[in-house]
Parts: sequence; structure tokens; C-alpha cells
Amino acid sequence: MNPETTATETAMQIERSVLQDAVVVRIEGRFEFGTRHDYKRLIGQIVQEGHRRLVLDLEGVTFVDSSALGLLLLTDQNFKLQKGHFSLVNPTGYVRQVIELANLPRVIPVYDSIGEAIAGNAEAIALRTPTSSGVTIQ
Amino acid sequence: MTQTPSIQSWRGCEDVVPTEDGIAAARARAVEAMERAGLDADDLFAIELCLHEALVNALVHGVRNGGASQILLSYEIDRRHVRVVVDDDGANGELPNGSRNEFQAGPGRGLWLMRAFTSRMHSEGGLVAMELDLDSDPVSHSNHISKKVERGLGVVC
Repeated sequence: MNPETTATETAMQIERSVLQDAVVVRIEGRFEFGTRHDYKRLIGQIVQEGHRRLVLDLEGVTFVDSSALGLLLLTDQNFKLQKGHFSLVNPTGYVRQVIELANLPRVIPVYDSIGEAIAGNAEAIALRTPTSSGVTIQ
Repeated sequence: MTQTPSIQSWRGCEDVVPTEDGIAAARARAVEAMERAGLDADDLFAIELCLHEALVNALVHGVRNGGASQILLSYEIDRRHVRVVVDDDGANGELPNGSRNEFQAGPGRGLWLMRAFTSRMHSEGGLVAMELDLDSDPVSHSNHISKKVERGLGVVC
């Protein structure tokens, strides 16, 4: 725990793990313009490593802004281009309201738990559903 | 019956240090003042988000792309409203209008959020002025975020 309010107000913690064949990224704190570089760096690394399934756990996120919404849309586009799958897990409170207000769940699946997201990812990949651009997921 | 929470009037202004740390600190100070003035959690969140977006816009479009050297922030709280003005002296080009199409395309997402979370918003050049009505009646509370979610203001189609 960091007792310094000012430091925690602008901080974001981000960590990755692997569950089955999905990468799970957990974010805590503020996901916004001031913390975008940490997110971009980690997601760029994951994309470069060739992972096709990414689950973003937002349960610990306390604030999102337009930069974060843009990054989520970009991440989704990246994974779709690579015939992969990207989903969000458990945004809460105001964060969920901003995401819903922007209609992001129409584009990016939102699940209530990591288990559901991984199952949903696997199903989407297994179904080999045509993407919106008409490309078949292999 | 719940009693109308008392809001203390307050005015503040500052010459914001035009850096990422500078805008974060200015935002934190303004939000702290509004919390002290008695804004509830919903209004605080809405105004923090909009203030943040306006300051980020000023830094990115005014300072970095428009050569601005100064960002001015002023705000005023009374029993019925919160008013916030963010102004920079940069050579800002035509700002996006914050429409649904622009949200999907990229630029203008911040303005869209400001429009969505305030009662009134005006932007012109490097100036953004916003007003949030403080309405304690939950039935007519036009700013309540969940009401906006229910009304389906979403921008991603």
C-alpha cells in the first residue's frame, strides 16, 4: 500500500499473467492519458510476442478517460487484425458507466469474470467466426 | 425526505504548469476544492473527468501542437452549478466538435465525453467552458450518469 495520496492518484499498476492460452492483463488505479505509456508498452509487447487472446481485467480501475477508451478500441482492432480475440473483465462503478455510455460493449465483449472471458475467447476462436472485415479467424 | 446537501460557494483560478504532471496536479487541486465545497460523488466524478479532458486537450492541442505557453484554469461553484473554464494561448486549429462520428474516428473523444457529462459545454479555439447543474432531485437529475447510460448516448455503433 502506498500511503501517499498524490502519488496514488496518478498511478496505474499493470501486470500480466497467462491462464490457459490467454494473456490476462490486470490494471489497477487510473487508466488515462497520464498512464497510457505503461499500457501501450505492455500491450505492444504482448502483440509482438504473437499472442492471440487477451483478457483485460479492469476490476481495479478507478478512472478512465478518452485516451483509455481510444486505447481499448485500438487494442481490439489490433487483435482483430491478427485474427485474435480481446475482451474486458469486470469494469466497476463509474468506469463501467463510462464504458457503457460509450457503447464499447458493442465492439468489445465485457465479461463478469476472468473464467467467463477465457471461455468466451476460446469459443470465439473455435467458432472461426468471420470477422467484420470478412476475414475468417483460423 | 432527504435534505438538500449544502454546497459552499467557491472560486478558484490558476496558471497551470503546462506539463503532464502540471495538469494532473491542477486537476487534483480543483477536485479537492470541489469535494470540500460539498459536491456529491456523481458530480465529482463528472466534473473531474471533464476537467481532466479539457486540460489534456489544452496540453496536447494548445501547448504541444499549437505553441501555447500558458494554460489558465478557472472554476466557480455555487449552490446550483459548477462552471469550469480552461483556456490556452496556442494557435489551435479547428477543434473537433465531439460528435459521435468523431468519437469513433479518434479525435474528439474528449470533447464528446465533456458534452456527455456536463449540462452545457462550449469550445472555441483554445477555450473550453463547461457548466454542470447541481440538482439534488434524483428524478430530474439530468447529469446522473446512469440516466445517460439508460438514454443510450453511446458513440460506438
